[in-house]
Amino acid sequence: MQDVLDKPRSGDVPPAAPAARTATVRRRRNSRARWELTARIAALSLFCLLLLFPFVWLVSQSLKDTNQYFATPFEWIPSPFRWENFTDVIFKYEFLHYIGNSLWLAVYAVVVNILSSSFVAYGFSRFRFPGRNALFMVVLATMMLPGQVMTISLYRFYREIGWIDTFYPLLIPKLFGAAFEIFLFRQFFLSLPREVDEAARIDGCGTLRTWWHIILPQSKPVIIVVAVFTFLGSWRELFGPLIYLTGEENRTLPLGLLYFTSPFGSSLPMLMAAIVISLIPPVVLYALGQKYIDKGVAIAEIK
Amino acid sequence: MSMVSAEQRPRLKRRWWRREGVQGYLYISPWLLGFLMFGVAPLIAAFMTSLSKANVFRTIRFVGTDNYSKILTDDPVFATIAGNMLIYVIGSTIISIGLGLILALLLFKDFRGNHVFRTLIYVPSLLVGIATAYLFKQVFRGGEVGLANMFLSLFGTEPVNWLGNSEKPWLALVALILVNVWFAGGTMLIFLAGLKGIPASYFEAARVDGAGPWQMFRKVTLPLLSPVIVFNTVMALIGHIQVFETPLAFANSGGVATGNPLGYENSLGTFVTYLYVKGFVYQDMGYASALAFIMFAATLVLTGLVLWLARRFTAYGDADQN
Amino acid sequence: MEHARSRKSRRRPGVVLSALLLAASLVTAACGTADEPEAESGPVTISWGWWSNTPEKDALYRKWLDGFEAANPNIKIKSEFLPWDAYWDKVKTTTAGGNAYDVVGLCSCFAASYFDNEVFADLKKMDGYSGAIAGAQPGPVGVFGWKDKQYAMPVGISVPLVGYNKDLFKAAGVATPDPAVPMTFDAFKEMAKKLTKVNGSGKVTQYALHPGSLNFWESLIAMRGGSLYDSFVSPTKVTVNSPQGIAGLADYASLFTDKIVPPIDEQRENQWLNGDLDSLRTGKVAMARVGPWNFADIAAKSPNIGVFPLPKVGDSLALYSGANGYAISAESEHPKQAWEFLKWMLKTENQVEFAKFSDVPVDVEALKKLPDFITPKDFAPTLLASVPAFRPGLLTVKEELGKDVGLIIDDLGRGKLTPEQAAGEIEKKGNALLSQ
Repeated sequence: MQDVLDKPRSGDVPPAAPAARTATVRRRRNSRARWELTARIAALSLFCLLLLFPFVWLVSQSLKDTNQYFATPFEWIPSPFRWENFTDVIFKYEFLHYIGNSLWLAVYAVVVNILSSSFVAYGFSRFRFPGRNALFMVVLATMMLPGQVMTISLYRFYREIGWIDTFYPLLIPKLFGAAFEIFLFRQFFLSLPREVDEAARIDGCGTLRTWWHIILPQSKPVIIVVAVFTFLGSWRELFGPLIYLTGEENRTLPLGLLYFTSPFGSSLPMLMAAIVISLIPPVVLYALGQKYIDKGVAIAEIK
Repeated sequence: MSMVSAEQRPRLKRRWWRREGVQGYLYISPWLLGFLMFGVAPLIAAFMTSLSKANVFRTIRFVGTDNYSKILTDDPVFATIAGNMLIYVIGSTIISIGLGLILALLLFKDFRGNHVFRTLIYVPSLLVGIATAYLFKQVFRGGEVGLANMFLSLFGTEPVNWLGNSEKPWLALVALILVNVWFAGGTMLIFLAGLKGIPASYFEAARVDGAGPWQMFRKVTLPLLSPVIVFNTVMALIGHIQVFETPLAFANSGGVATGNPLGYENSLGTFVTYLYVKGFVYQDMGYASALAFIMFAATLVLTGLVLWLARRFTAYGDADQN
Repeated sequence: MEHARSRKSRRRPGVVLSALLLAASLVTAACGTADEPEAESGPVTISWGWWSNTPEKDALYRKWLDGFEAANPNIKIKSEFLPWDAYWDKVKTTTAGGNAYDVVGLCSCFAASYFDNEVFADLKKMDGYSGAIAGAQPGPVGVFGWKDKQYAMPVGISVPLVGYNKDLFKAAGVATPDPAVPMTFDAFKEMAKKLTKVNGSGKVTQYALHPGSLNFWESLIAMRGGSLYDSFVSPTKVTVNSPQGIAGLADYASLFTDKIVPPIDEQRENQWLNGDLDSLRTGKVAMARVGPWNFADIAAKSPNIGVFPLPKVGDSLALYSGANGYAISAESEHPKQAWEFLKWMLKTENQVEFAKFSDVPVDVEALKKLPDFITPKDFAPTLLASVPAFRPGLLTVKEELGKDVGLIIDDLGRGKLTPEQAAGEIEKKGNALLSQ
């Protein structure tokens, strides 16, 4: 566990070690650090290799026809490449449309959830009020009952209020925060030193402004994490859009994928191509977004 | 860092007490409102169903706690599944937390290529449900074409029939646990964010005090990371107890309803797949709802245990709970 | 939000939040007016659901519906084709939630619990019911009858045929089977043994038959003169434990011992045995189930696939399968228009159009015309030889029954149970379930 020794961002923090460090010590440290880095990269590379093995298979299979797909022995490099799988998925099955639908639902979920969940979590982490711990347990408990046993009564409820065949069942409940996100925010808020925001309050900053100007700016890393999880939660959601919406124009990506799995004529190579395509938007967004995890301001530096 | 002096704090607290309570409720009101509107009624309905003989379409009659007592005393399938779940949840949580933490520690320090690794490790977590099912079904497929078998053949091992093995049905459960290796990216991400949140000055201070690496980990990293560890552990427990799509896909051979949806001799049965099969396939919603509440109680106890341990053994975790 | 008032108005988080909450309440409030009653004067739109096949076939299906709209200008159909599993999830949830499609596409395989809970309209009460079913085969209509009520109408029946890969037959030097006359089970086995190929190291590289979804063992029991249940529709008793029943089970088990079909564990696990048509096309097995639902696909892509009827034992051929059809939701606001559709689809000319891209027609006249329009043309004799042998598959609210029996049959295939033991197990477990 050598790595925890290293300060996370050495450039930002003034050296606290005594200035009397000799050159030899530094050199010894450097060579040890280099060896350590090599070991670290080797371990990670091996692990990634193992992890990505199925994805190599996935890409290979996505470029085959049915005969090549089932051929034994297995061919890693398809010959010929069947690029039509990808064009078919995009044009014949209108995958761009499904991706568009899933994308806007996910972006909406991210924006709304970050605001509402951090707001609620602020309440749970910074105020004392009777029943707080009990209510927080209720927040956790709402995640523990499998949704399957509640879908039908929820569906009936939405029917009663006329929400079926509208986007409301997918959009409105998200305005009220989600348990997972509330829990995550709360845990991070707990680890923020209270003194800072208490001081802000004494300085005449209202609690609402404290949340917005003090708490949230310190929480950029966790906001990104919440964004990633919320995005994926919505991106993966199959059942809600399936039962609340009708019509081709409303199909989402997870539903779109199922069209290739028909027991009356599945098309596995195309399914694989569709899976590859479905990975592209989140991978791109994640690769872009994770830079900001590092840009998050370390807590100690907020004064 | 501006600090509130020690003498000032108690007085402030007293003065704020009343307003603080009101404000607290104000802040949690969105969630409370949402819960009252969309959460309570289905919850009560599900509980009532668990006390009834019911199918998907209607409630037939009230039966009291019959469903519960049947599950707990007279259901060998449930007993098997409870055993599966115990093994699965423990194994999977160890993988999620242990591997996630190790990866986060490896990636915590900045070095060239760090971002590439982080992205690659997270790629499996970006899969959509059905894709996860198909891909990992392929990993653990029997015969030479299965990817796990291809890997093992490098070491000269004969192909293993992982998922449909009537001789060693437990192999399917092992496969199901191993799938979590691919999804450690999620906990890793949260650990990383947590590590980033630890003030660098804490490490410096410990270094100045002459702490060794292990001491540093135990005395600085671990305590300061404890809220995140608590979070990840609780979420891993809740998530793993509800594992659904992958075991169902592993048990089904695809196509129209063949084989046992709970795996050979129920070896792949999990709480939720059993609940799903009972309620939605075999049309016993009362029984399924009772299963859900038993599962709920088990999760609640486990979570309570984790939180209690956290409060007892961590310096920072839930110290603020009062 | 008391704090929003107290400070400067610039960059106030309160504004964002209040706006969100306001939006939420507005949207919520607006919903009361969301579902305005449809004006009865204009065209009525009925919702309609079916499971998806391939994009091509779904498009043909939709074209067929367009035909209905053309004939009934006052009725529009809002159709939805969903993937198989998703379709049943949706039908179940929406039916239970009281908001099913007006016209619900049904497979007899999942129909029992819907019927038993009376969630569909009784079609016998509809105008012109007897006229509508006059031309239909009584067998398939009976499949959708339940306790003197008629909860759905069949649109087509699906009979399993044995599809075979002509190239593999040629390579093995096996003569092409007669497309119209079922061969005997013994002759079939003799032929099939030549179609299982074993390589040098004793490994099977090609099996003769993929038995999946053929319901072969149910057929064998029946053709031996036994019967699995006292009745396949709403059974009350398991009757398999008889000498005839055991003989049928023994026939089935012999397919495994003779290596004609792949071992059970491999059927479940081997990727090239996943999906009957794929395994046939790619030559991993020489024979597998094919049905009318595959014909268009085969005609377009696989000229090397032929068909012949399932083999028979003795004189009789018995094929267990299902029917597909439509029900009308009991909560439908447009039952009359939905009924118009059901009547339309049973007319001979529309049945013919339907059969061109989908199942075997239920209409007797349309069935007679089958050789004129079916593609591939040479599949017609096999279909005509098989349709009379159609028997409805299991239809019961005890959904576990089929599953549990299937698991025992699996163990028979694995050689873990003898035919006698399997018959005893099925009887014991099945009757316990049925008497509950």
